[in-house]
Amino acid sequence: MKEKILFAFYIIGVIFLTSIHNVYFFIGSIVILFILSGRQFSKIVKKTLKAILIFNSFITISYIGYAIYKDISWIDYILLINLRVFSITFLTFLFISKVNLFKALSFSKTLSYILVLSYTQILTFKKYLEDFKFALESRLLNKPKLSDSYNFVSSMFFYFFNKSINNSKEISQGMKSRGFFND
Amino acid sequence: MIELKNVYFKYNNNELLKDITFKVKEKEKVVLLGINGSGKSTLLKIINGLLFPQKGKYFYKGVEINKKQLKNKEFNRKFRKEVVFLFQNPDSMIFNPTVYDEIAFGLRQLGDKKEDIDEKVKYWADKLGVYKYLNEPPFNLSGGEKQKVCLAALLILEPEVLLLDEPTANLDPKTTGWLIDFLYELNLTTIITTHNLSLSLELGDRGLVLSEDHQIIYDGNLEEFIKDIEMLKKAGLVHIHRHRHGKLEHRHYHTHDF
Repeated sequence: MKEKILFAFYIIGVIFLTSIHNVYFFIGSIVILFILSGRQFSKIVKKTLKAILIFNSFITISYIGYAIYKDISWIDYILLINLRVFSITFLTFLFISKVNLFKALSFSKTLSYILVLSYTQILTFKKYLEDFKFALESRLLNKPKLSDSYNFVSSMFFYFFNKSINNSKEISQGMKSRGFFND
Repeated sequence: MIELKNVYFKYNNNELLKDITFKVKEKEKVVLLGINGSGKSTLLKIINGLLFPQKGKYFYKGVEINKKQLKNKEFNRKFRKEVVFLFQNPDSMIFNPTVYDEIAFGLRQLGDKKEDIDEKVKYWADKLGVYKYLNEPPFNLSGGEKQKVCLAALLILEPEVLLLDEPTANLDPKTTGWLIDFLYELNLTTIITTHNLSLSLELGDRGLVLSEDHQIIYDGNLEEFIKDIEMLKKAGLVHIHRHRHGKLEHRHYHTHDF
């Protein structure tokens, strides 16, 4: 029951964080989240920053460029969007670290199935990703050239892309075969 | 050539290797047996300097292999050239636009001359039967062909130690037969993991067996190990179920791996 209540709080938290547009509200929320994270504070902060860094940097730089070109103010918007993304991501990682997701979603069969399927995919992909990194490290005799890094990243991207498509086809066939849907 | 002393490795609070001690001589062909999850792949990754023991030590040609040692660029280059690793899933090793580039990758890194690289790429592609694919992207090849391309890409470096992780796991019987013959003719140190007992005899003479408890429980002649039912049971490499021979039905330990 505890997990389900915490899940409800998490959903309410996300709704608040997406619907309020006040910088001070976000600063206050982040301080509360930091306190709630306790000993895991630095671990979750690092994880959050790692998760949002590329996407947020891209959005921020693009918007600043656009705002300067159009001669409009950008500070408030950039601050708001970055704080919003940070707080939601931090809240999600905090929630995952404290709550057993399988118990939290056990009220719905469909959500539980989706979670199990996603989780198995994540574990498989995590293993593949590790193998890709190890295989490259094992074959590198010197620092890789830029073209080698590009080839590596693109081949990995296509591998995971194709694997996702094939896996989702197989999973949907498996679910159909077990009578989850019929269309 | 290779020496492990009381190696211990833990990942995510799971003990994967406990007190692993053994030596491998030059040109020796060792088969690493164990059930899934016994730590075979982890052990190969340690020997390839991709993971490092949390306790114990690993020496290659008398030099302790650790993070610090592999940060030495010159040593790292020598080590990576001499000790090569064929991953179970060849897709994880393939990233060059053509089979030619894939095989040439290692020599290009070493800065070899173009003509020498060309000659060697063609030699190894021909030896491994992938010559006709040289100008094609490796991604579209079958699993067995990808594995051959990866082997060519490793062997072109003229390594001294070849580590193979379940090399026959994704191969059809015909390619498995070809691989056994190919590996038999290679004059270098090989450490091959498998959980296929009958195949193990074709891959080497010496067996190192990991138990379900992640410890080495046997180090010696493979044929003798396979005859020792108690040891096989301890390693979890045999199973028991009901057998039917016509009207007769009975249970006993056996394998079904070939």
